[in-house]
Amino acid sequence: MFVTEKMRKVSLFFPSEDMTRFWDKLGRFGSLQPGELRRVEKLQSYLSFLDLGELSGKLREISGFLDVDLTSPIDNTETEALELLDLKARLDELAPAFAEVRGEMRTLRESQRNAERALDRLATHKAHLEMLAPLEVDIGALLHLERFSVMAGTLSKEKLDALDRSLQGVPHALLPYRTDRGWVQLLVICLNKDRAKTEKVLDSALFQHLDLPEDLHGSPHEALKGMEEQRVDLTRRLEELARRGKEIEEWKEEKRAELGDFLKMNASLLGAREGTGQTHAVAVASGWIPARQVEELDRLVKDEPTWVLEGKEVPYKNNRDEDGFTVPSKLRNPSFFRAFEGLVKLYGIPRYGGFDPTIIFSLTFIFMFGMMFGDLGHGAILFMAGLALRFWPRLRESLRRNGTILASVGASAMVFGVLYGSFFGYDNIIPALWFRPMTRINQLLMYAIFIGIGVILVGIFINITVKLMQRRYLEVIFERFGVLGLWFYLGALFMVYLYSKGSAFSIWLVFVLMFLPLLLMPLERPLAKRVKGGKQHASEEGETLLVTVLVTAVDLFETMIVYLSNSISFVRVAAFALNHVALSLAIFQLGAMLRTLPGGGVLYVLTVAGGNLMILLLEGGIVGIQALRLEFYEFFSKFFEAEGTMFQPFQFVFSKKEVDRA
Amino acid sequence: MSAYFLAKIHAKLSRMLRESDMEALADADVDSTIRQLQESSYGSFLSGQEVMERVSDQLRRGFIDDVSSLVYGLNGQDRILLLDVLSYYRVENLKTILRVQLHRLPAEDAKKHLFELPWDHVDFAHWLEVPGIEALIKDLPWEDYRTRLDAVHRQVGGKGTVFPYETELDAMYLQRLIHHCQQGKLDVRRVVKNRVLKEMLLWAYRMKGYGYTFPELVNILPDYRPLVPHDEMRHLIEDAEGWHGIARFFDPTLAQEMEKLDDLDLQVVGALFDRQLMQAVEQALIEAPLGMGIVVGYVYRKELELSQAIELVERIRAAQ
Repeated sequence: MFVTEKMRKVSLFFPSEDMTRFWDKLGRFGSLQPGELRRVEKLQSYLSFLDLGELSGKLREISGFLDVDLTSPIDNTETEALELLDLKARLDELAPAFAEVRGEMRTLRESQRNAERALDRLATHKAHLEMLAPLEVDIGALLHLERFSVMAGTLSKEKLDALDRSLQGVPHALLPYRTDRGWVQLLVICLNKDRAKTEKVLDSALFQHLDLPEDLHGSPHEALKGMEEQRVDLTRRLEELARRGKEIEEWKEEKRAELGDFLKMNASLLGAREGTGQTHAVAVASGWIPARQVEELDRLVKDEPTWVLEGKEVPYKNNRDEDGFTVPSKLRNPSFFRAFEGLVKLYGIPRYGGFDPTIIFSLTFIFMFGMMFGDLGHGAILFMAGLALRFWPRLRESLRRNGTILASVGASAMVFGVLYGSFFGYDNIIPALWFRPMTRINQLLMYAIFIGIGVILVGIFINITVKLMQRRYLEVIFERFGVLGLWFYLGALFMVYLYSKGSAFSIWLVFVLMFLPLLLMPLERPLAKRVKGGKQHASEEGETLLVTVLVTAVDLFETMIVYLSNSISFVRVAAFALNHVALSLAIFQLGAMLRTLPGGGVLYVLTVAGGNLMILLLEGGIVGIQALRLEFYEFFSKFFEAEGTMFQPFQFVFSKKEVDRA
Repeated sequence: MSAYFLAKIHAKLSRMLRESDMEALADADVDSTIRQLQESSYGSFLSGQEVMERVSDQLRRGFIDDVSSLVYGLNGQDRILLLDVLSYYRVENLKTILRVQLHRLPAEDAKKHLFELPWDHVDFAHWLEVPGIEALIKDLPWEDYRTRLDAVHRQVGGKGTVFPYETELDAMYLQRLIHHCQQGKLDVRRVVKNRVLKEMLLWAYRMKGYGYTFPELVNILPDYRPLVPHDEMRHLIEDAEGWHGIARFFDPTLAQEMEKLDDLDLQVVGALFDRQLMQAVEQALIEAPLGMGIVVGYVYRKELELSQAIELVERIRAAQ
């Protein structure tokens, strides 16, 4: 709680031939995050690493073909982890069958596409040939005369006369054989030598050629009969192809059930094996493990006489190990608060040894949401919806966690609803245990600012404590949200208090309480330089005195503004509480206006119900976002160093059903 | 046609910018150009505070406003004739919209090129936003445009060229005017024939320049035979020196000027047609002072005046 878990950097030594068994055990143990030995330069000359890219490629190829999601849970805990040679042999054994089926699938799809294209083309030819139906002649012979070119097509009726005129210089014949509304279907006949010229003129008249098959013969009726036979053949062929496709899909389904777990488990193992260093006979794996689980790992290792575990604690002061890799952060919170970790992670992952604000965040978030959205009725709906999500069987874990959040904020809204005396926007149904927001607006605004001051002070205290734990003393004192910042903020609050009471105070008091800490803050840089004794930063070397003074002045001014704006920002807590009442009032006014119309009773109920739904969805969402905003910008900004990376252990994820059974 | 309406037309004719006015404007600076234009019939559209870029648009608006007052003063066949003359602007609008639709050009830029035509009672700009040419054609309120454009679309839709649509629209517009040339009185015939010949011949020569042969042009142009016999048209367009034959459409003085040309200069030929038009209007004023020829002639003269004024303004702007 409050601080990320203490981690141990461990190294594990075991005989190379045990590698598969080792990672199988570690995968089931599920609490070690493998380190990146491959990237540690000093080990490169001692250790070799396996290159399993080819094997991994084969495995992924099969998984891809079977549509197996390698990250999804494994169903069978008994799934066997294969030795590399066995895995290779198994994949080689599977490969030919898969290659054959894949090839068949490809051919099948190509054939399907060709058949569909042929069917489309046939439909076009058929439609065009039907236009030639009035001509009882051998169309094939007509279109392939020895000395004449015959073109069949359609033309807008209005263009026929112009076309005839335009072809005056060319020996030709236009033979319309059918008219259909504004269109004429005709045969254009010209000498073969004039074909190109005629086609150009036909184009200018927007003549549309009929699309007919090359090998056409017989009368249109005969040709149409032949086409119908082709269509039946093609349709049958498509059906056969679809049937075969279905058979292949069934085969894939069968294989997926048979090989899915094997592929998932061995894909994870291949990745882990690649990161394991080896000498001639010994393999080395390193990684991070939560300190409290080292004993468990030790027991697991001691079961094997030839395996050795070495470990050392990683101090909180540094969030990087001796090889320069970031130590992962593992949050550890009671199960109720774990639901809120997702919201905290939206801002970032705390650095190793950094403060984990999940619990404080959860409490303040729930409190502020309730204060902004205080309504017994609306809160009860959120609460019940949250409970339903939390306890509905067979729902994903992430949805269950959202259910916990929803139920918590709903409960908080219910409590404030009782305090405000608000029930679905009505303020005359239940008594207000505290006060009704609209009756004491100024008081509510003041309370909101007090909450803000409280949250900011907690943020500063957390910052000071964490930095003290990390032994970053200069920052503890001089930072904007360190001791001097706290001195300034408390001083400013005290001055405001005196002013509000009408008490007299001297200029020296103002100087000591507010300006002295501000003037001391800039001393951090020269002191840090002196303590470290190192060289100045490159950008600071050329900095003139004037620039330093200006930067410092702007920095101090910003400090004052930040404290002021952060405190005032909390006014929104009260503003949204008032907004809730105002929105409800508006809906009731609208309902009252509609009540005077015919059927007003129904309209009133519909308006009030619809309005309440809108408040619940729209305002509820906005309030959630505003509470989150206050947390992120006014609270987290005081202490949160989101420089961490998430702890991601190597583990086989088994499906819940299987785990329960096991 | 009422006596009041005719008096109005005569008054309008007398208020038009004369050649001397144009010459004076050509030598003026921006401010005095706008000031002088303010004193013309465009005055109400020029507040004097115009940014130079907007003057051309304002002049166009002034023109449309002026001719629309004529539309509402007429009825029956006279009104149909004038609307057919003015359908040129509808066609121009539709061509712009088709280009935008086919080439997916930005609608906002195209909006300022559209003429607002109060007599058509349609919002042309909204057709820039309809989803595709098919929807546009379906939405057109004029059945003949719908049918003809639909026919073109069925033949060439998907080829991605706007040319067939444009030629169809131009041909439709000119065909109507040719019909009026056949049916109208002498004064109307003279004026409209001049205009149709100018448009059609210049169009045909331009197309010939792009490589079109006469037989192809026959399919693109309207049916010209009521005005020019087929063989004569073939000679005018197809034969290398055939264009000299245009002189036949001019009076002797202009014909002489035409014959002086060594090469076909479309701009000069266009100007000769315009001068011929002026003469036709003058003739109509004398021979048929109560006829529709004057109204149509006024529209064409006004168009000419507008294009000259815009050209002038653009030239002054460019020199600024």
